[in-house]
Amino acid sequence: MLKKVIAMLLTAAVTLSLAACGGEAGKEDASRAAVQEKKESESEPDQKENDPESWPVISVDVLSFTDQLERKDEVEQALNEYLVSIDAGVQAEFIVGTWGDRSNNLTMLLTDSDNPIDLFCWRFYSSVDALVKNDQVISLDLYKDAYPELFTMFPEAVYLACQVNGEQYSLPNADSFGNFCAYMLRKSVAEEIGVADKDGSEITLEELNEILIRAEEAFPDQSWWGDLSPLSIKGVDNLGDDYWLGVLMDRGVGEMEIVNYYESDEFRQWCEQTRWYNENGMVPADPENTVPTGTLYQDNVTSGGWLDGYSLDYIRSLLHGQGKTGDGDFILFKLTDYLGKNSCIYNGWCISSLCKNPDAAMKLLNLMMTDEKVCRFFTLGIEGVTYKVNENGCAELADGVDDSTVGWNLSAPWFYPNQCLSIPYNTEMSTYYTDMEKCWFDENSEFSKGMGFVFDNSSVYDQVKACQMIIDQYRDALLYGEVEVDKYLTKLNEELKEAGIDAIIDEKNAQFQAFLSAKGE
Amino acid sequence: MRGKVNQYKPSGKSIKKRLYRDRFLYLLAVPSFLYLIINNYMPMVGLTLAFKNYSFAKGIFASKWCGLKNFTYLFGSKWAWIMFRNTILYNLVFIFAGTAFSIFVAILLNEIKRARLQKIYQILILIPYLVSTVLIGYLVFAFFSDANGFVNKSLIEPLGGEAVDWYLTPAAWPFILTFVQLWRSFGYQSIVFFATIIGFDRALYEAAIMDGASPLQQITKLTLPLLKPTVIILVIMSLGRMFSTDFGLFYQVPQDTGMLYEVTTTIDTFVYRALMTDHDIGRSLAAGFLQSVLGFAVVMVTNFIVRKAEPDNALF
Repeated sequence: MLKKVIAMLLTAAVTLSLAACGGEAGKEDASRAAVQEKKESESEPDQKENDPESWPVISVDVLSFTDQLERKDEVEQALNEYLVSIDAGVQAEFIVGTWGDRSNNLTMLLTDSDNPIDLFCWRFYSSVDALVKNDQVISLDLYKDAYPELFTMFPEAVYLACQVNGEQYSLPNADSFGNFCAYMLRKSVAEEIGVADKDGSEITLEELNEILIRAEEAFPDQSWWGDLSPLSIKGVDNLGDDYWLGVLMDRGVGEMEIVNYYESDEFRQWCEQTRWYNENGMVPADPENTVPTGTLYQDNVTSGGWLDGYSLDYIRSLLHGQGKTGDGDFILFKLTDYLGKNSCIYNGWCISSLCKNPDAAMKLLNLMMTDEKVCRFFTLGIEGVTYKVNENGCAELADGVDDSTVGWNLSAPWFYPNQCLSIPYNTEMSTYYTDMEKCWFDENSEFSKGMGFVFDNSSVYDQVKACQMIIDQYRDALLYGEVEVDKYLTKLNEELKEAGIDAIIDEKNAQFQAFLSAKGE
Repeated sequence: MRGKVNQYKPSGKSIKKRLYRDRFLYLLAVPSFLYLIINNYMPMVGLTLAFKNYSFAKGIFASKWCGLKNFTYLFGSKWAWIMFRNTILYNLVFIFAGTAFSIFVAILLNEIKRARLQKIYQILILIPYLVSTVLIGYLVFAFFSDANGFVNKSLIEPLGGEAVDWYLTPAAWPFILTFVQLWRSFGYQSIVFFATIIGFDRALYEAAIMDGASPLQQITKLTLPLLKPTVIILVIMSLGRMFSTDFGLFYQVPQDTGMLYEVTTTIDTFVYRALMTDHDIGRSLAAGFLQSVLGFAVVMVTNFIVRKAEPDNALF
């Protein structure tokens, strides 16, 4: 009898523990499920448009750099109150994704047909063509007539970069959409070697190298190279491919043919240049295994490096705003001309293919792109609670809060669709956004011929993967000047050939020519 | 040594009667069966995605079939040979060298007579097993960094040698990775073997001592033969994971350094690197499916061989 009682008790215990496991997950989803229930009831045709309680609730992507945003509910409520006050016809539910888990979380949310994320940004997650290939987003072409402003506010070329086969699947985020390459040098070093008066001037790479030689002589324990140099100094349009498997030279302006960059004289020259930096002690130790640039500046290990931006003031503002660059200020040298960015943009917003109410999602996206107050809730939170406006018209943390207690992420305005509607945060450059807007239709802002070209790699997928691994194997070592250029560049090119880079570039060229023909070029 | 095996014989009663007789035992097993079905068998439906073009909008069942297309990226380039070679060879070394070393340490532990010391040693050898792989990656970096590493700065250079750039020297890494794997895993495995050893009948050892067996003879003639069934079962189970590797060991420890890919690329790291930006669920599953099928085949073949040679020691 005792055995039977024990058996039954153990059974009950195991069953309860299993139920408890399920219960935990259930709890986490409880609030979303409730919201979803509300959504479903709201999507019924007889919804009362004037009753905010019956408005659709759209789940929207919010970026956090930390584990959680303590004021998430507070900001969400404030936003929804505002949406009610303007009779928006839609409400928002924030889905906070942390930086580290972003990829996994978004994949899960985009496969959850019961509680999907409705509106999301693909930055740090994927690209427009991959989203379309995986059926993760819907076309926004349907909304061109209803929201014409959203499809014309940025340069036309930028919209092309969010299209696949001529259909608009994403709306680009506001940015400068153009840049040039600059070099930053610690001011104390510049003063010591007598070049501080050249701050803000445009110099050639040869002149920069002369400066670096003097800097290295004066400060031999420092390095003058932070991270891998940006594309802007290499002068190519990578067509959105970080592996550069076929690029347009001259940043794509006027270029009609895709070439193998790794075989070009330009790539060899750049590798030889970086080898020279390395051999002269200008590259940080163990560059492939060292933490990113910011820490090296902060620790005063590195006193110079590359960056790009749309203006020197903007770059200064970034450096000031980050506040983690070690001792003293930096002076800047401009190295290249201002041009439109490469044909891939890195930020845009989409509507999930699982979204149950895309019309409402579009309504909210429209408000995020055109309504200043809505925009500020996302970028800065609540005035007086998370931020305040200073005498320059810029935002700073509200009284009584600091970075650790503010409970909202104010450091990622670029993540949201139209940061230019907001006000600059943590900078003295009050024209931060107005200058950015001026770039949109600046006549100097020439764009690559590749804008809008999306390569479908289906027919050469296996070759692409094999080549990517080979590039991962050798490229960083070459670009950091760690290895002998002749030997390893030859190896890189031989192995790329063997893995099928020619087939990839041929296919890319064929698709690119078809793309240009369709545009009438 | 081989004793008579007490095999369970069905009583011959009908299934219904046996079910009723053992109803409480079956009741006790129900939650565990449910757990097994929910967690281990129901997700297997997802394996069909290895043969489909997965569409996030259409879901698992409505996505279109694509045959073996999801598998082709694993083959047809130099990486196929590299990743299969590395995966198999590292696993063989880890299984056999790891098992041998762990048995050696377990026997040493068994020779320690003071219980307190025995416990202290057990705790000490278990600690590396509990250290995070990311942390191990930085520990290894502290040893092998080009500019500031212990090996260059405290060993090679003081002895008049020239510093080695270890992260650009692939030939060294099979040894470094093997050492790291043995260092962090031997403690756990040794304790498993030690737990088996202390369960052996002490009377056998006392009889051996009476017969004049030396300590070495006790080990070779008693301990090792008695350990054999456990070793065989553990090795067969390890072989089931022959085509999988510890991702952290091959990705975090060498810090994903490109120049080391020839010796650090295994199936798992290749798949991660190849698909990390694509979110291609079908191709990821294809690799996992292949690893499982190959691992299953190895287990079946090994078990078959063991069953032929020593039927009592076979897993099934």
